Amino acid sequence: MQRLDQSPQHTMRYAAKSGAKVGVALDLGYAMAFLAYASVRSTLTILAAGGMDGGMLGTIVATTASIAWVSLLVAILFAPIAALIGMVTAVIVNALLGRVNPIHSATRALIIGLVTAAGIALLFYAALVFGMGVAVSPEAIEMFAFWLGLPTLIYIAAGGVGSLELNRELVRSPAV
Amino acid sequence: MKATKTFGVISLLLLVVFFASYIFFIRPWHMRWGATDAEVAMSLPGDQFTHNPIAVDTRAITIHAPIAVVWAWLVQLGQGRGAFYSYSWLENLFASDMHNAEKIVPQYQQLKVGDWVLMHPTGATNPATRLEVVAVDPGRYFVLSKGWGFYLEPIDENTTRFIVRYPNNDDPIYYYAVLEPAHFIMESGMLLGVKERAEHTTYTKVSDTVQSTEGGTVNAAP
Repeated sequence: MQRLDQSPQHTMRYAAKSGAKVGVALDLGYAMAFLAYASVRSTLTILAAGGMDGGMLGTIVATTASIAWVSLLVAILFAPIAALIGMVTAVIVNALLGRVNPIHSATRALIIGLVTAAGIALLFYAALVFGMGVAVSPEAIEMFAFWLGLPTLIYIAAGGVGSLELNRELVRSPAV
Repeated sequence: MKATKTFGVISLLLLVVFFASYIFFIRPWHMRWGATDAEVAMSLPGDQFTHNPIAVDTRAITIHAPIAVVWAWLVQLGQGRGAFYSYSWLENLFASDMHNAEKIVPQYQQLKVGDWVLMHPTGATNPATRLEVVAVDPGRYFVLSKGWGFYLEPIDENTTRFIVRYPNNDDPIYYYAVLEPAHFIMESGMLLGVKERAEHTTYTKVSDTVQSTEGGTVNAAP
C-alpha cells in the first residue's frame, strides 16, 4: 500500500482516494457475486428443463451473457454513487481516527469504522423512509434485501476493515 | 502501481470483447431463440398491433403435450394469476410478487379482449406495468398490447409448437441497454417453464376436451 504523506491534507486525500476505490471495487464485486449466483441458478433451471430447440449449451451461454450484460451495466451506473459514498465515509473515518483515536487502538479504529458506516446507512434509510416515503412491505422484502440490506451489511463491514487499514497506515506514517 | 494499470487495461479490454461478442454473436442468436427461418419470417396476428418496431424477437419451443394442455398453462399468464413460469426469483428483486403456478387453476382459464395481464402488482393502478389483451383465439393464441403475441401450433396430437413474438417500440437506449437482454432471460425462461409444466401434466382426453389430473379446468381443444 502507498505510504502516507506527513501532512493532514495528504492523509485526507489518500483516505478519499482509497475510499472511492474501495466503493467502486465493492460495487463491481457485488455485481460479480450476483452474476455468479444468477448464472448458477439459471443454468440449473435450464439443465433441468431438458431438450430445447435453442440448444442447451447456447441457451446457458446466452442467458449467462445476458445476466452479465445487465449486471455490469447496473454496476457501471452505480459506480459513481459507490465512489462518492466510499469517499465520504473514508474522509469522515479518517477525521475521527485523528481526533478520537490518538493512541491508534485497533479496536477503537474498528468501532469508529463500523459506527460511521452504520450512521451513514441510517441517515440514508431515514432519507428513504421519511424523505421519499419508501415503505418496506412483505412482498418487497427480496427487493429490499438485494438492493439495500445486503449492500448495507457489506458497506458496514467495509467501513470497519477500511478504518483498520487507515489506522494501520497512520501508525506507519503518522500525520503531523 | 504498474500492476494496477495493467489490471485496469486488461479489464477494459475484456469488457470491450464481451460487449462486442454479445452484440455481434449472442444477440442475433437469442433474438430468434429456437425459431425456424419460416417462423421468424411468417406473419402473425399480433403484427398488426405494432408499427415500425425498433426490434422484433421471435422465439419458439417444441412441447411434447397436446395443444389444449399447453393452452391451459399459457392462458394463466400474469402477475396475480399463474405468473410467468420464468425466473421469479429475479422478478421478485423488483417487488413483482411473482409466484409461478404449479397447477392448472380453473378461475384463470378465461381470457378475453380487454382483460389486463399485470406485469407487476402496481399494474392494477399503473398502466405502465400492465398489458391489455388485444386479440385472442382461445386454444390457439392471444396478443397483448404492443403486439406481444403467444401462439400455439399443433404439430400432431401430442406435440405443440409454442411461438412468442415481441415487437418493441420502447426508447432505444433503454431497450438495447437493459430491456432486450433482460427480456431474453425472462422470455426463454417462460418458454421453458411452460414446456416443463405442460410435459409433466397428466391428463385424460375426453371428447374434445382435456381434463388435468388436478381435477381442474377442462379446456376446450381447438
